[in-house]
Amino acid sequence: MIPDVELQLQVVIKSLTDNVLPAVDTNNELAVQQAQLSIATLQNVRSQLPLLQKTLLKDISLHLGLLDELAALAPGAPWSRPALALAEEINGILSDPKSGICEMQDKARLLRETISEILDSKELSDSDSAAKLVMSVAEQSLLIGRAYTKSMGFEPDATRVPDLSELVAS
Amino acid sequence: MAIELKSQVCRDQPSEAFIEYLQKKYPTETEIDEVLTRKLRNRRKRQECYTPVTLEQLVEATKKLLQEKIGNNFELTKPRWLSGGASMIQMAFHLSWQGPEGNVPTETDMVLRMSPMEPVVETSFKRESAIIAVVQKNQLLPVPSCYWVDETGEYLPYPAIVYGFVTGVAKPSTAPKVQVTGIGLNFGPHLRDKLAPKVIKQMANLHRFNAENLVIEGFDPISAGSNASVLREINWWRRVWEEDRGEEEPLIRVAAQWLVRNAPEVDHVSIVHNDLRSGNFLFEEKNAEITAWLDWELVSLGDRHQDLGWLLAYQFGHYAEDGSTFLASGLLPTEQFLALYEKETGMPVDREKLKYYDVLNTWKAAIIVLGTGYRVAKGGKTHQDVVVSWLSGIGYLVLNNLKNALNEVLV
Repeated sequence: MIPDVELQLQVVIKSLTDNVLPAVDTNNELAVQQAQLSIATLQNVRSQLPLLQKTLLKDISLHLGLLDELAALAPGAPWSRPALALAEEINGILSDPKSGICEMQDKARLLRETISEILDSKELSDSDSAAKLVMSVAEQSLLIGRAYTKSMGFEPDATRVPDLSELVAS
Repeated sequence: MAIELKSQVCRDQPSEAFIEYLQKKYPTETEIDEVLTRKLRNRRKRQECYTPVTLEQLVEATKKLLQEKIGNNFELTKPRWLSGGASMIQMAFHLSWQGPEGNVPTETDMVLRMSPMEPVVETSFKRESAIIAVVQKNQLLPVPSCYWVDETGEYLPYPAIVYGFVTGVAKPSTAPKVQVTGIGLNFGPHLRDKLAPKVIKQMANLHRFNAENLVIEGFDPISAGSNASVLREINWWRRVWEEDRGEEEPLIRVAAQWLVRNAPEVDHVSIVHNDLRSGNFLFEEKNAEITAWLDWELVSLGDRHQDLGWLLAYQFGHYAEDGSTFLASGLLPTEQFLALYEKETGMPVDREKLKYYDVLNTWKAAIIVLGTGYRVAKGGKTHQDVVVSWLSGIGYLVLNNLKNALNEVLV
């Protein structure tokens, strides 16, 4: 479709940078700061957009694995069957080519909510094994999150964080 | 009515049932419950976004507050915006008035700090002003004078507090010539040598003060030898996470469980600033005198290790000119800092408690940026949503620090 999202982002960034920001009163610190951050946010979106779907897929995949492993710690728990049914439903959405990004985002969040609910359950609350599983998945999922936000400038040494494209390739 | 906690609707349009559920599940201090409950009720009432308040509107509203507090015998002049900070709207002004006693012509430069519709941290100005009064009365460390509070936004568009204006800078006006690696405020070798002992001495003064029998507005009683206050604080932030999060994070749950299981007793009840670090004190560049400690909105009564751990955290320090010595808050190597702190307070530093509060502090920081930061920006509730949203980008780094802190303590 024309104009495509990539073009729209590109032209907005250029317009704000070339024409709008230079016209902002430099004495208005709030306006200058927000204009700069608005441009930076759009640049961030533009750079991450091509990888957004793969990032969501990877996030869902990691947390589906975590859900499976948590369920295995407490077979027969009352939440076990609904949780595994959710996992199956989400797996179906992942393999459905009609699934959109927003739907995937919703399911990724529902999955995380379900996992956290399970962690507070009678069976797994304060479980060392459950905690270790969470920490192990966090190792990978947080690296993806850091790669996703790397260009925002918070990392003390950005070279230590792999590129997002590498992390979501598989 | 069932509350659908997995849905965002319960957070965007919080019901009374949701509020009651939170109050029961996460009992906190009385004033904290009041502040958080007010936040949710306002959120339900105000579905619209924050719209900018003009300087003129703010001046008129400030005058209404002043009329209520000191009558009509005053003149407010030179109003101007003050920049800086991610959470509050700030206006500086000059006040010609009759002074605190009402009978001495006085000229005072002042600062109004007002919340936006929903700030990135919801706090109590009642607590803040009460603690400032205690700190000033006991001369614990320099703080701006606090004059008036509009706790609920009765006169001003939103809750606000009026302080005396204090001179000084938060960072040096000229950056040091030598580029050092890492993040955090760099004072340069000359200034940091002068500032470090003063920071530690003043921090020690604050923490040494015995706050156990303090009866002040906005604070529930707290006893040494108990961990009840720590559990209440954990509940505070668990509740905030439940109220505000956009996306659940299993690590935050695991951390919460560990914090509850391992909550240590408080051996000495201190005033805990909860954001004590470089960048939150002003100083005169010519003589490195600290003129005021700022940003008391998160103050609590509790364990000094909470403040100590925060100030020593990696994100507030940087490496010295040699490239390898880490300077806590840009002041001193960590071990030197701790040794001097122990000497000044006369109280030992418990390394296990430091680790505990490292987890607590990092966990809280993650909740603020990824929870409330997300929610208020999404709702369009601040004067700088784009800044708040941008700051939430630090969330995964903070979570990574939390993971590392937990790895150190999990058996």
